[in-house]
Amino acid sequence: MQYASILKMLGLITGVLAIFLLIPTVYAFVLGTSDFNGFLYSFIIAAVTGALLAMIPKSKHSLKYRDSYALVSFGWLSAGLFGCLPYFISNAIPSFTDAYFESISGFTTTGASIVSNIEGLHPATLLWRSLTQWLGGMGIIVFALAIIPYLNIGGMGIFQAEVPGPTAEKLTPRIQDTAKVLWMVYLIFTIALILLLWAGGMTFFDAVCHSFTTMSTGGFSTKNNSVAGFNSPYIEWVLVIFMVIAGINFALHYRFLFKGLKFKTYTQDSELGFYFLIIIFCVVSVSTTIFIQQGGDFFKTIRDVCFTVASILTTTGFGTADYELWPIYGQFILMFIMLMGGCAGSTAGGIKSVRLMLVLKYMYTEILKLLHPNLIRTVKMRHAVVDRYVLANILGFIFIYTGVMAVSILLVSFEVKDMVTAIGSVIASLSNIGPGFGTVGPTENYAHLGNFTKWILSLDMVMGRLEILTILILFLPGTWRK
Amino acid sequence: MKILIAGAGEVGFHLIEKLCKDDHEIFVVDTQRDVLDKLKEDYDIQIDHGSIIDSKFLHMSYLKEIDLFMAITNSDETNMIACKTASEAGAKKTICRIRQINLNSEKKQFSLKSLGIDWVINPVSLVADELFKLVLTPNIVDSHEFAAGEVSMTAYRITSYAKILNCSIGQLEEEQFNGRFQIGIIQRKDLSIIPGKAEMIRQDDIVYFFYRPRDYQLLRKILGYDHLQSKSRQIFINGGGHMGLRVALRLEKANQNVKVIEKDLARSYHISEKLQKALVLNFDGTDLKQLIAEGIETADYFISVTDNEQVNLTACLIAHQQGVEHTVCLVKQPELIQIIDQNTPISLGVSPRMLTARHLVRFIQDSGTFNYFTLLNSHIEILETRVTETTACLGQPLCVMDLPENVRIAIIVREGRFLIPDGEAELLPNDIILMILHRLDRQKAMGVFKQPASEEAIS
Repeated sequence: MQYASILKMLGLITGVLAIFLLIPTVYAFVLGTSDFNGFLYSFIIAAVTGALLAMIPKSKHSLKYRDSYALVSFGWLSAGLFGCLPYFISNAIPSFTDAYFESISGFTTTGASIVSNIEGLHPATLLWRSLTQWLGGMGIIVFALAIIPYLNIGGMGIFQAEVPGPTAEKLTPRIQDTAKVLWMVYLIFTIALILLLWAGGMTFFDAVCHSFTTMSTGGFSTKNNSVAGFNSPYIEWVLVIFMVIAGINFALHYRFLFKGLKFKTYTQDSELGFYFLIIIFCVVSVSTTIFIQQGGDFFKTIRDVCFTVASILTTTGFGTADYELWPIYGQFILMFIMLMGGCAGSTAGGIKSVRLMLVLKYMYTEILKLLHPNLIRTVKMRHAVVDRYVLANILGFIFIYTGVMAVSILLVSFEVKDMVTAIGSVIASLSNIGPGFGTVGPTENYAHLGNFTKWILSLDMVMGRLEILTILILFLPGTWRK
Repeated sequence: MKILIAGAGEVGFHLIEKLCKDDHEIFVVDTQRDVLDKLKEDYDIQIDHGSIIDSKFLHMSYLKEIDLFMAITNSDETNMIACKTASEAGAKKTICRIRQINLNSEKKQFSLKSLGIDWVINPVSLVADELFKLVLTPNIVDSHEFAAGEVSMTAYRITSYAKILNCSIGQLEEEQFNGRFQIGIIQRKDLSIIPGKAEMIRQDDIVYFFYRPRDYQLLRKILGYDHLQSKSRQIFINGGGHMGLRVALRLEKANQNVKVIEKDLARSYHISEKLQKALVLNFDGTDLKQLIAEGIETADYFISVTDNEQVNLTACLIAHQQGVEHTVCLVKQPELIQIIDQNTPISLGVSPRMLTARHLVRFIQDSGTFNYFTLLNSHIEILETRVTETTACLGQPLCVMDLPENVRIAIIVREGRFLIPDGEAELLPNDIILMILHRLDRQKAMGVFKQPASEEAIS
């Protein structure tokens, strides 16, 4: 382990965070609200820590894989720490556990909140909540890679550790350019969404906050009732579209936007086809069961189902309808798509549709082999062969994912009273959704849970965002050996 | 015509044999002296020993007079370089044989012209084309285009569901053809007939239709092909080499059920990566038990294209014994084809060398004032020529022209129109005519149409 290099880079990342802390600090100063001090102190602490760590002399050695994983893991944990300072110092969230939970829920784009009266928070604090999600969506490390050339020494290591999906895709020969390009695409969509929401009757402040949390599939809102608080079909449909966009691989968006605006880019992608198939299936089957079992207004129901399915599948977690009142079938569908999540390379969480699709293809191949004992067949995606090593990796990932889920449910159940809540809160945290089931459903929040549970869920969120293995490596003794 | 053939392998031999019967000056270059010596004994040609890409050939005085340069050595790279140097040295047209390098991809990475190549001939894709046509259009025996694409010729084997079965040609012309189709030749068993109006069409005849390309669908209808179109067939391909893979890829794209049998495990993995839907099975294609386990009896076609012709023969015989109706066997030696077709129950033998040689001959036939086209296994030829203002027989009705008895003028293309002439028709300048004739009559027929001016020039 190369502690010096890792600490130096952590310092650089913290410095980046400090720059972002400056935004709400200035905003609070302009508005003259009481959380200004909190932001100012947080900024100073982050800036000083960052500067001190960054002064550690350059190491001659480049980062090994394990160093990259450690760097990314610690980067995220420390981001949570510095991100929670404003809440804690300004007394907006008095308990440190709660503040850390809120901060990490932001960075991991989970959107689970312990704040009961969101509208009671100061605007600058609300902005910071949304900003943490926006940063976490495309990735703090990827952002740092884009702007700090010095970080660009670890090869694919750091990039691979943070970008979700079975294989990280380089869009340009140099990682730094890839990181820039990804953030550029992210920025373009965010600005487009801000304009659309602003045009739809939101205040500019709300439009910015919601765009940040939509494109990152985070799900923090500035309203107590989430998006339902705006009561506007236009806003809901715009959000549905942009949530679905955010759940798509950003490499595709990049090719579409920068390589000639050809829709073929999208229509030829098999993962995207699978993703849309799931969306259509969920919307049709859930709304049909609602009509059969509960009835109700046609357009309102369709809109609510579309919104909820998009919100849950992309792991955003905005709410317009209380899905806990839906038929059990609908709730189960939602639970399944919570686990599935969006596409690889998107800002969404979960297992990712590409993994599910490849596992299904692999299973089909295995069944076919029973029919034809001598069959030789490879699993393919986008007309290219999927390496058997990658398939094994995916199967392992799904196993570990469920394993971590099971262990977390066990740990959480020390404090949580009912089964639904225990399972619901863990899935919602691990898949970075936000609202779960039981007492952490779409109309409730996480405030009433015990401190131990909150720490476990915080860890789950980071694991979910970094796809588990990055964090799990830290628990291996071999990582720490010389 | 002056033709240089680089590479005197099997294809080269076959080609030389065919070309020597016509009036060509042939130069052959090869690296093997014994092969050249044998050639010199048998044929009246000029030979040179050495590698075609050796610098001494670049300075060869005759290179700039060559009308057609054929690079058909065993090495793709040699052929490509040879074409490049030959075209720079002044050869008028070049043909390059390429087996491994894929030049026919959808996006052309580079233009062949820049490599000095006019035509590419690829034995693998020729065989793949042949097998593909065999499965998808099972009764098309041959096809060609004449008069720069104005006239198509297609040869069909007449089946029991053809609507023209047991009709006489005169009757058909009156009732069904409306001047759109002309039946030029009928092949019945080993006999080739230039049919009169009274000739009846019988089952298993091979009938040569001449028509405009846009009437193709109508022709299919008349032949009763419609019901064949949507059917998906069960095809077994034994051998996953270049040929097997190419055929499998094309058939798979045409929604046929393809199973590829390949003995080698590593190769099996390789082809399974290229194929999307087709099943790749890893066992020996002559293993009866495995074939039965995979349902060989349900197969419509069994195509054996391994590198080893003994294996192909055995596999096809096994498949035939298991009740597969159509079995196709790939052989290297062209001589084996006749044996397979006539003395074994295997439906068809295919030889890449034979196909290559046949196609190369057609390139030569296409490039003069008189283009002629030889039918398969027959002495009948189709001769195409353009009438000019100096042609001797201008303005005479066809029936008084001094043509040999069995020569028929089948089609006249006049200003893009397609005419089926009768005895009263007269020729005008710029007409393109297609004649059907016996190859022995060719010189005589050419004499009738030869232009007086050019005749003088030659003498």
